Amino acid sequence: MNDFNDIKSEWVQRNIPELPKNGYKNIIKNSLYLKRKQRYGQIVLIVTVIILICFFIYISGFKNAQLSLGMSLMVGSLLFRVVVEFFSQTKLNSLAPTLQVKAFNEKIMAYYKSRLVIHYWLTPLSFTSYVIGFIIMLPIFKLHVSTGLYNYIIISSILVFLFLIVLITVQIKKELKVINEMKKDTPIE
Amino acid sequence: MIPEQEFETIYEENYHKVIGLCLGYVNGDEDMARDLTQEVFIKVWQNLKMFRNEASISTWIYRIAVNTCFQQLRKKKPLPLKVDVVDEIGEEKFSNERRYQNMYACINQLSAVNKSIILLELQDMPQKEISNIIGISYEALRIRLHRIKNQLSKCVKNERL
Repeated sequence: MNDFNDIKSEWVQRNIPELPKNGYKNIIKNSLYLKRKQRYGQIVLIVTVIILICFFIYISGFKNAQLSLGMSLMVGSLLFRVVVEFFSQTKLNSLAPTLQVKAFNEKIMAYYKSRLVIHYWLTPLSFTSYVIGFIIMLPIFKLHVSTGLYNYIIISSILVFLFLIVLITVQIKKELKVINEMKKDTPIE
Repeated sequence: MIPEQEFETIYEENYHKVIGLCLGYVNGDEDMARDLTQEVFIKVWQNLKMFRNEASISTWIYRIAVNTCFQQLRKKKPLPLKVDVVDEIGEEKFSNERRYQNMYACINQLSAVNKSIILLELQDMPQKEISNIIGISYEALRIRLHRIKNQLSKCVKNERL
């Protein structure tokens, strides 16, 4: 254990950065900034949901069944995804860092497992229903817009969908990596 | 005492303990350690109202620090510490920096939980409080700590040969 005592005495001799002047004031200021940022994020999500619900009510007034179905699928899947994300974020923010490490790890693991359900099931489901809604709308677009604009809608939509697939895949891989790292750690007792 | 004054005292008394711990998680990278320490104290401030004196304030803060470092480092891995060239910093300082680099590198090889245990031990936390922070029994901690110390000592010795 002499070796470890040597390590411990070296540990104590390390250079430790100085206490920042008025550091505590910056902490309080940053905490307020983060709280506001979170609040604005929540407000944006809530406003998005309200707009989508209003739009949903508006389009349900249309007598065109194809239009109603297409728009309902598109708006509905967006609404669903926004609400799921809102609750997921709320869940993460509510995880108390004051818990014992074992309990905190268990809660974080449960959170990431719930994210897997979102990524493997809910996101593909809402993405697919959005695309189906869009495809249902295509004949209506063709009828009401110029050929040029119609082609632009098709091409830009394909590009956006491909981009979203890549983005979602990257996000899933990142969160899977976190879960695998957590599984590799020696279990706590 | 008003919350801000209370927080100022807590911050000044615990800053060096927290940043000392965070340095161990990030291979000695001072910039990353400062960022982590900032995160930790933001959470201390946000949760201060909920502190109920069921543990000492340092134990409570260390719990937040370990959980925060765990969470952040899962998202972003620290790079190995770069040691300055011997000509620029002198023989003795170079030798010291190499020793710290070896120590941090060996600590980094441990699993996340073992890393936390040994860092708390190096920070001179009583073992009963370490077991309280991690959430394992005191007996289990003692056995585990003995193994980690051997592992670390062996690694540091091998690095230096």
